[in-house]
Amino acid sequence: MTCEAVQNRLLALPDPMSATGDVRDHCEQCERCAPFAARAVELDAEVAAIVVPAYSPEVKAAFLARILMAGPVIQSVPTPLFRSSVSLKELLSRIPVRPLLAVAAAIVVSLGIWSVVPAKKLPVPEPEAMRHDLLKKVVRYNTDLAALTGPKDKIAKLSELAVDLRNETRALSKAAQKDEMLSLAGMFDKVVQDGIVAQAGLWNPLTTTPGERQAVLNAAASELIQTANEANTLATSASMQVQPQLLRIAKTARDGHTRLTKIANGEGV
Amino acid sequence: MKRLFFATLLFAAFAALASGQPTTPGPLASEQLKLFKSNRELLEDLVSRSVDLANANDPLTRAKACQKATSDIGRAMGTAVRADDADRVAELGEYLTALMDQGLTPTLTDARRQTPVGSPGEIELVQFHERATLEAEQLELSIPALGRIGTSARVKDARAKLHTAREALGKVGR
Repeated sequence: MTCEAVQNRLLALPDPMSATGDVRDHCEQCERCAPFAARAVELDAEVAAIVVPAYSPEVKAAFLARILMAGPVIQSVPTPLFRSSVSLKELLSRIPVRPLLAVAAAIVVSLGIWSVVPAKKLPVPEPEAMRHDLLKKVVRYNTDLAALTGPKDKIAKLSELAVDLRNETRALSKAAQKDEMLSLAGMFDKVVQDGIVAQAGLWNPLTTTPGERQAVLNAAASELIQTANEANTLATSASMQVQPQLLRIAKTARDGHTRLTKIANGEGV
Repeated sequence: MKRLFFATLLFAAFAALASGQPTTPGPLASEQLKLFKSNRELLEDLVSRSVDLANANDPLTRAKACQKATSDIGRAMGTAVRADDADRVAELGEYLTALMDQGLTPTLTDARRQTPVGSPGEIELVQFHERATLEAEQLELSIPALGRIGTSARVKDARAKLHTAREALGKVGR
């Protein structure tokens, strides 16, 4: 047993005189510890000799008040986290490595999952299929004509439809085959002969002013002559299959123009 | 003053630049031909309806022409459903709604207003209204609620609008 250990055990005893066994044997033989033990006994006796007033709560309170009167008193001292004498190695050994490693591993795994799992896709709007503009317009002409009652408005609306058919004819004149152009020519015939010219023939001159009637009919006739000229031009460069239908459209338009002009001039159908 | 002048100049330059941008290109001739071929029959029917509507002199005749137009579109709808073509179904559904909302329902309302109660014309009108309402219901039901067509957002939207239009048609005169 070392001297330091013996001295510590002596100090830990309530009474240094009560040392037994190894401690007492060591103190009897050791030159350093024998005086230490003797001094410890003396110190205990001196402490015991100090005069202590009898315990009284009032006296204690008065004593504490006297101390606190001097100014602010630090009543608790913060404990330093690390003692300055702690070495770096000891300091590092105190860091909780396992939880830190667990957190780092969790982050790495999360990143891995995040990079592998595909992100939730935002709803992508369905791509809209191309729509036929002429079909949309023809539906519109139906709803418009359902609301019209007078020949003036009906002729103007049917004239717009005829112009749309002319535009479709122009767009398809190079690519269309006989059947498509036949269909366009048939629709054009119907709109001009059964629609525009028929409405013009039914238009009672007494229901409107001559000037207004003439203006509406001339506007429609002007579109028709434009269609006739364009169809004739297209026919010159069209295929042999399509050419007859283009010439048919031109003829229908020209005839329609002639009849509208006559009606506008009061010559009858 | 100078600042105002230059700001106006800059604005004009941007406006000119914006107006010079190409507009949305139209379909190519081949695409237009394809569209025409797929719509040819329907176009011929609807152009005929346009002429019929122009020549109709009373609301009931106009309503009948509108109803025929909805039937024409209904046939095309059947073809589109069989082809599982959701876009086409949605497109035709929109046209059906337009024809009901802006054609059939208003003309029937006019016809109701102009037809004297108890007249032979009223019987014909009531019978026609019943047929038109029944056919509108069948048209709505012809749009599948399931499968590729049924799950299409556009078809759902078109069906919902058609349903509203069909209900409005059914309520005419009530």
